[in-house]
Amino acid sequence: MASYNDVLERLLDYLKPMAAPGVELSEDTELVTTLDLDSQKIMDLLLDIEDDFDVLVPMEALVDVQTAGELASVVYRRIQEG
Amino acid sequence: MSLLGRFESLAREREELLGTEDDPFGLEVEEVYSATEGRIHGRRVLLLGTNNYLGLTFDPACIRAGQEALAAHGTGTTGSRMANGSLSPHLALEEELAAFYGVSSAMVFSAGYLANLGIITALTGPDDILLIDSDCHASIYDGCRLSGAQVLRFRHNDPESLRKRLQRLEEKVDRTLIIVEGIYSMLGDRAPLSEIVEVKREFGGLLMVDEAHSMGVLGGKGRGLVEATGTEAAVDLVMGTFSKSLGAVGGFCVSDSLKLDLIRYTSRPYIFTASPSPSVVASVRQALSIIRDRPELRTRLRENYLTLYRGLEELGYSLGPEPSPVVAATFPDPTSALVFWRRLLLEEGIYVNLMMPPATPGGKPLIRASVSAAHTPEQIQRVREAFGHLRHLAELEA
Repeated sequence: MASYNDVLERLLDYLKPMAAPGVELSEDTELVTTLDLDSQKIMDLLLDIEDDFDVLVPMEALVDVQTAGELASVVYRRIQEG
Repeated sequence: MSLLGRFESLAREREELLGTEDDPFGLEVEEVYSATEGRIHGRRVLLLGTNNYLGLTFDPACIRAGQEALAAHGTGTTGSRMANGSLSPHLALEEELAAFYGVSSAMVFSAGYLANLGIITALTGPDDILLIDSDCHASIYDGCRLSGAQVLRFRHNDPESLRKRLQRLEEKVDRTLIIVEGIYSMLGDRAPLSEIVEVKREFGGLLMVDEAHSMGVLGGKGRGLVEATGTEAAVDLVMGTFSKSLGAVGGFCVSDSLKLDLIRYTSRPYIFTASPSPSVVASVRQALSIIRDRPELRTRLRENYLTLYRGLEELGYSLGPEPSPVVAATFPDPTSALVFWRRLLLEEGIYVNLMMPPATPGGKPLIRASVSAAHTPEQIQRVREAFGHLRHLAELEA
């Protein structure tokens, strides 16, 4: 089973091309304020992550997500729940 | 941020983008002369931002039917059908819609938005799953949120992405409603419905198709993509609107597999909204008979949108993946799209829609033209030429 770090690492890979030059990505990176992602982009990103880890993450789980780490945690919890 | 602070921030963003010039999202159309022409800024302009696909808003028989109903039944119903009762024309319209689609039941709503809210929230609740195409309309997203069900998305027009998710749902598929659209409103592309139906047949679930932009446009009888693809038997619910091909306002749902009469008791957007005005119901009934009896309107519409799509393609615009009455060009950034929109209106006298992200797929702004059967070949040619004149304004994607 994938670990939290596996999910975070994959997520940061997807985020790299979306970050402005010089922006260091970490689990604390803010998706909206730092990376300027809108809700559509975050939900599209989730489609990739869902397929990579063979998991389903409902939209409502994203309501409180602000950072890359929080998004990775949501996905990881769904993986654990099976 | 305080409640009012949100609006201060919105006001700043609006001023940064629009300055003091025209707001494309608050435009005043001073007069409408016909289905294809109106007056904006005191000038006669060509209308291509109306979704008036069959041009029936000024059809003499539709206007006469509306006027007669206004005189016979009054200006409004002043309440919901559950509380105040149904007028005979409401029931007649539902019977005619069911007959038009060849199904057992139909249900009319006061707006297309309410139809999606009303059916999705009545059918699904916290124990259920909604599995929707990622490009579905805001009314579908809002209905999903309001239902309390778990909402999952699959990649736009990708049956394989749908398949993977249905597979992961396992036994929960029995409580899953899949939602797609006939023609998607932003880029004008159709759902691969035959393939989606195959996946649904393999795994199960209910399938809803929103034909808001395809009813009256596709299919030999104008029923939409479900008819065009011969998938009637596998589609459980068809949604539609009166505000596009039918030239009025309102929405509907038709179904053969579900008893919609029971949904009336549980659909809050149906129960707590005043029912459609008699004049609206009358013009819609007339328009429905025109869709049924005048297939030449669909032929003319198709000729018009093929001409415009090919013309803009030749000019090098980046368009939606296939021709349809929605002809949308992608722009690289909001400023270039806004400049184009303004100059098309002010210099060329042509009104189209400006669509901004995040409402647009791919996060890019769109200039969207909606073609009508009522446009003359000369008007379509004029639009093509105008797009040619302004081609230099934006660095359009290859």
